Amino acid sequence: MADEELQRYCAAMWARLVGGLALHTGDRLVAEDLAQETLVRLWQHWDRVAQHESIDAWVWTVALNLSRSKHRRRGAERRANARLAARPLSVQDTDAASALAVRAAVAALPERQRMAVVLRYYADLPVKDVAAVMGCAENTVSAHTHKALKHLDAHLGPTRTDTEEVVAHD
Amino acid sequence: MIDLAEELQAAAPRPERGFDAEAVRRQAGRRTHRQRLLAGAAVAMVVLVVAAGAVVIGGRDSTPASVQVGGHPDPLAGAAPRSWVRLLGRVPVPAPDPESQIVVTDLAAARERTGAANLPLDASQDAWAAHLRALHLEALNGEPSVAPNTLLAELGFNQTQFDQVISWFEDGDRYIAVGRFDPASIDAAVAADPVWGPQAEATSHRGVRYYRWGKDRALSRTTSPARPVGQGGRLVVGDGWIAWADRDAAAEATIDAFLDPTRSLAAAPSLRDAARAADDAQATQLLLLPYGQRPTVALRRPGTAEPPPIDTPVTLTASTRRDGAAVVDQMVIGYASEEQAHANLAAVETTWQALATGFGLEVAQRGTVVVATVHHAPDQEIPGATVDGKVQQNLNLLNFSWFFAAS
Repeated sequence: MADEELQRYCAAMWARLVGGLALHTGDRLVAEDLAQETLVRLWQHWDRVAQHESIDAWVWTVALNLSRSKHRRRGAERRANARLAARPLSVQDTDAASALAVRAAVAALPERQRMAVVLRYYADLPVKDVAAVMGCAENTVSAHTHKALKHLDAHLGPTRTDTEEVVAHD
Repeated sequence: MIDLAEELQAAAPRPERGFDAEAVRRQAGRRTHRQRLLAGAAVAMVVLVVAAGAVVIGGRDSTPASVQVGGHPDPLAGAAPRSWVRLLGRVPVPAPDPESQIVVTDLAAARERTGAANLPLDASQDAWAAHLRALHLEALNGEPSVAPNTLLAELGFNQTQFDQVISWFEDGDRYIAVGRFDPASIDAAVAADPVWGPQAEATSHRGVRYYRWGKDRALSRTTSPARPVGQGGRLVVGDGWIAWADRDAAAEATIDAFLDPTRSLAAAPSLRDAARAADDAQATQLLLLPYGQRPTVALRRPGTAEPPPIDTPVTLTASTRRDGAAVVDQMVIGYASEEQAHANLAAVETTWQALATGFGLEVAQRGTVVVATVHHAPDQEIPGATVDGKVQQNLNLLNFSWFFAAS
């Protein structure tokens, strides 16, 4: 992929990464910093990453590792907060109530379940890639998503998914 | 019926700013250049230590703070075997970077305090997460983030064997763990690993063994459950301790610090004083910012007056102790001298009184550091303090770092 194509890939991935990381971390500004850090790494290691079977999976792996790494996350939080410092402290979220409800329900999931949901249903990665990103077996991904969907059903109403690889484990 | 994929797409926050290709390109280039300079910088640092007995590491940009390291005959003299000071004695001085953050976690102390039993070696990720919650620890703040049973299978050790762990980021995640490890089990797992085993190379530095997989910081197409990004890494196998890094120089610097604490963070007076304060507070987790951070009250209660200026400290640390019903958090602000600490005492007290109204607060000077201790209940909200629409809970480590967000 030429430099321009890499730039196009990053530009297309930017909003997806920020959205997914914001769902994972619960903080959009932190997500923006983490997304940028992820794309910096992609840029640095592109020659090798380009040979990976799934570039998306690599990118999400790095992004979520950065998110889980408290050092980087705290650094991102401090940078994000430095930007916030110039703004009023009582910023009200003006997004729709339904969006806030979904975010709150996702945020309440245990970390592994939240990761599985974001990767599978937001990032639209196949189960095989979700398993690779999370470092677990495919049936473990299914178990996490199953539990997560039960939780989301309870908070948001019955959930429909078009990808029915999720199997009952209870 | 709700379509989850559509709902998530609709609910996911949109970026406030667009993709900045130029910034990404610039950052990527800067780091590559920085990596090339690292070897030279390390050599220069050693020369300075030998020549002057001390090295002053200045903050970047306009940050004037510095960490004085060296010049102390034995920074661990009198330190108890499991003290925070002794742990700092294992950490090589990180490259000067205002983003540097070091987190020290005492799992053994947290288990003693909560009465929680340790997990078996083959624990799952979910069990480990539940264990950390039982210990009132948010996380180990660093790696490994994979399931204990996965780590054990691939590398012959895991986090259930950790008693204390120090982690930090320096162009890659690094950690040092003190605990109960079985070198024979590590050797066997490394040799038997079908993915990384063929690349494993055993070597040593100053008589301490370490494994390397591939070139420094190399990313390969090889991935595995414990190393999903494709980076082999470095594993130091000490006597009762292990360390993880991403390149030879980092692994060897860790060994050097362990063998010679005068080259470790324990040799910095303000950090040593802060670690002692954390010891006295019986903290179980310590967040340490070893380079100067300009304190700005980014998290401030609405309606309160602009706080008085506080000199940029040399170091910042935050520690916490959680016993379930009560939380004790401590912020330690380190200066180059006792006189400078004293000059800032009143300003720190005023600032914290404004923020922590309703919390039990004590502010005191201790040598080169100013210590603010906050007592509160778990999940106690900070009245009126909201950031990005969220009411802030707890004056916890995270909020401490927010409080001191660099301007």
